[in-house]
Amino acid sequence: MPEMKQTETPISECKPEDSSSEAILIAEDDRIFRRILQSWLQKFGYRVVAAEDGAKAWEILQQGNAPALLILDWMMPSIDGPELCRRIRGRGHVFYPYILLVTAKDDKQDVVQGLASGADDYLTKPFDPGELQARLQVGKRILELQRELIRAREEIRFQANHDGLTGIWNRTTILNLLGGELKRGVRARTTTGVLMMDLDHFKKINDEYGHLNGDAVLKEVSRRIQLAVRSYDFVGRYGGEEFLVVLPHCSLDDLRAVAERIRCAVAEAPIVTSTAEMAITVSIGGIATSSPMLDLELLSAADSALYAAKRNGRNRVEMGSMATPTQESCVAG
Amino acid sequence: MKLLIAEDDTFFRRLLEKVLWQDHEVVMTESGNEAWTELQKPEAPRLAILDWVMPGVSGPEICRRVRQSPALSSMYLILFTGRNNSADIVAGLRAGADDYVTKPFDPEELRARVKVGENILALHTALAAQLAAANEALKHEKQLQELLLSVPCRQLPPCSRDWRGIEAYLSQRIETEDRNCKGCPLTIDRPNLQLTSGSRRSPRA
Repeated sequence: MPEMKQTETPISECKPEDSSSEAILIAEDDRIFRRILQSWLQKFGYRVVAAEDGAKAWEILQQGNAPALLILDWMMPSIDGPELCRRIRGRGHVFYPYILLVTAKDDKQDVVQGLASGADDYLTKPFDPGELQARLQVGKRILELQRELIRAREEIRFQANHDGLTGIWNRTTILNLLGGELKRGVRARTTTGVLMMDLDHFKKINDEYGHLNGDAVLKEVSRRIQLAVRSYDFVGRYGGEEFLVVLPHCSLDDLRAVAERIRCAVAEAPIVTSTAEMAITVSIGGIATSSPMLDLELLSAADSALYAAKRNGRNRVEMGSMATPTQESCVAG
Repeated sequence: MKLLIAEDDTFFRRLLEKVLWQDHEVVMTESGNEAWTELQKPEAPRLAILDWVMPGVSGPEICRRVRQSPALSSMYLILFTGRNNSADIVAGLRAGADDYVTKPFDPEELRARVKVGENILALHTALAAQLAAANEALKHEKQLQELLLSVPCRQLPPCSRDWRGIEAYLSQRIETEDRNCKGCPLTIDRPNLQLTSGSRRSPRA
């Protein structure tokens, strides 16, 4: 092992650290060096993914759940270390991996060039296992800080976008999604569908069975709606007992079919809690459009259709048309 | 970017300043104690280059203190020292340094290493800003939900089934009840948040 002189810390003195969850990608074309590195890293407690050249490493990095700690050899066939660094940093807003560039060169110009290409640190062969381990711990600490910030951000974004009770999109977000889908539909020349629905006589449920049961109904209805729609439809809570479903790329016939499915899913079995058994129905108004229109107009038309469903006896689906929106729109839930 | 230098040797202090002042706002300190005081101030530099041996607190000790302090722990610390054997490097990194530059140093290499720290800090700053924006959005969202749920249906004006009606009504109500209502969610444009990654659609309950 000419390249791996153990200068200061014998590998036998390196204790494994708490690295169990962390994976490292090594890209190294020298088979012997790759093997030694692999065994060292495993001894440190890391999970190791090895690539025999830069192209293979790049391929691994495209996959989901790729390692975030990278040890890249400078000189490799196909894609070399610095080029790989540039590609990784050029990906833009994705997770920032911590990169250690490894080289046999010992020219300071190379350090500068390596760091400028996007590496976070630089090690020259031969290197000391203890030093490698300490440098990887630095990388791990930086990655953990990043993960913690991302986890907190995602958690708060989830809360800001979802309804706390039912877990579906909240009003603000479903309206944003509607706006986006309408624009996309116009661009793609496809029809976007909207279903507005309102639980029938929900006030009575609250009065008769209490608010806890009322909440249980809202949660169960949300669940049934989500099971009845297509995987790429958006379900949101629009008001107290109102729901809005946005259906991208959906013809009028499909829209009617999905609406019927939702109506049946809600009505077919009573909602049972520990204190009540409640027969629930929902009235649904639907509208589909492929022409540029404001979400306001569309919502207003869907609302008119919902009103028609209520007026015609509830537990019904009515399809609206954009041509003749009705003006009347007040009805008791 | 603002960065702190802690170095008791006049020659190296001048040299560091000469290399870095053009691209950075340099806060110069001459002892470990002075550096530690500076780093704890509000608006303190978030990147520091620390000499190992200084009067007062040593470079590695500052690293340890920074990592143990929740408010400071995300700082980027570079140890600057004549000690260049592996055992010292390991001890320095284990104390909490992010990087290590040995004397005598190459100016270009130092600039490159500072740049790495700058990039990592920028990443964390951007993430922290996104987190703050998400918190702000969540606060408005909660206020809006409260308003929407706190208004009993029978109090809503005619035609309030139209959501424009509700919001117009609510903003009107707020205006008449409290004209100085600052921070009202109905009058603030909520930032259009990115959706939680990987969940364009609500999860199935």
